[in-house]
Amino acid sequence: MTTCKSVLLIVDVQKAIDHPKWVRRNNPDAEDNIVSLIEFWRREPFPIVHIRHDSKEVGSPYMPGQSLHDFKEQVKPIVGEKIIGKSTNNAFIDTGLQEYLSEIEANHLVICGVLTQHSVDCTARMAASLGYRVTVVSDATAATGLTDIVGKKHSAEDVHNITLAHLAADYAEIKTSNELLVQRT
Amino acid sequence: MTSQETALLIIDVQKAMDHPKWGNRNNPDAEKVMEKLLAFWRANTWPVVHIQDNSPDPKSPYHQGQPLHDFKPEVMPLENELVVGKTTGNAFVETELLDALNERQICQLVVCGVHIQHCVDCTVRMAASFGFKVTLVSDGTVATEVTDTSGKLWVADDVHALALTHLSSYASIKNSAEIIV
Repeated sequence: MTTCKSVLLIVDVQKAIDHPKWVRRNNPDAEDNIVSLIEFWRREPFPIVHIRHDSKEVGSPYMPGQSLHDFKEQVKPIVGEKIIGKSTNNAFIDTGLQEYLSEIEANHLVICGVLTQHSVDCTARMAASLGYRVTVVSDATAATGLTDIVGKKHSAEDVHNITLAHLAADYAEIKTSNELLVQRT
Repeated sequence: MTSQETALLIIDVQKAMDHPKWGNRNNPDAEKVMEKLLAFWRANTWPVVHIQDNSPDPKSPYHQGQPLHDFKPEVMPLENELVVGKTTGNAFVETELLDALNERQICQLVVCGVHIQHCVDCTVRMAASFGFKVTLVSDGTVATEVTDTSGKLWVADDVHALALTHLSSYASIKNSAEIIV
């Protein structure tokens, strides 16, 4: 019997996240923390799924064929790891992710990547709605700051923290990478 | 914009939304706004879909059988209107909503209801991912206050404004006065 069906889901960690068009993000160490998670998952080994954003928006640095569409070097998939392309913020829409997770009998998703308030949020909520146990790793995800619809500025940290609070209310448990790795070692 | 192909989608406007456990809310007139939208849709005989939360948690005020599970009087469905029950924050998950919309050839949704940071958010993003053209009614939606993971309290108006900002990537944000013409 397989005792652990925890899948590490790495969302949109492509070179495009460093494009200067995006405003300042929080958690500059998120990539390092994702690497720690990947190393742990590979050692076990537990399944890893790399979600790649294949934007259909012309001019987006996330569009296939663009020089920044590739995964960042630190998190590059290795042979045997599943890569799933998506074109919306929800990794379950038109992607085969759910079928793949059923195939490997996953019941727990550990989600990291970018951006907390977009693809991470959408994907975590959807995963929870589909019945998966979901953990979102607070220091292995990152948000960007923004000016809201009434003109108020919110820092990347604030956007990150409120998004995690929404997720914690109903959809996911929130853990740091340390808490997660200590708990598992 | 509005036509037979545009449904008014009212999310979770049940008495349970007034339970004190949710904390302070904003937009105290949202129910009146929704009542007006509903009257406008009915007068034009356009399609209306009522989403009802049937929480699987027996302690939730949204659980079926709880006294607050019923729709609020301002948005009580008529017999010929579609009511879709859901058990998660997403009105498309394990419900007949997508099939029902496709069957009726509905391709645009005007969305109102509660709470904007939960069920409204999930449902709007999903609808947009499915290719529906979504309009979100800013004064016909409600947020509650939230304490974030750093302990900071966000008043309901700020939670609402931030949610609208995120959702503006998925939907066009309009005031009810721009819709009821």
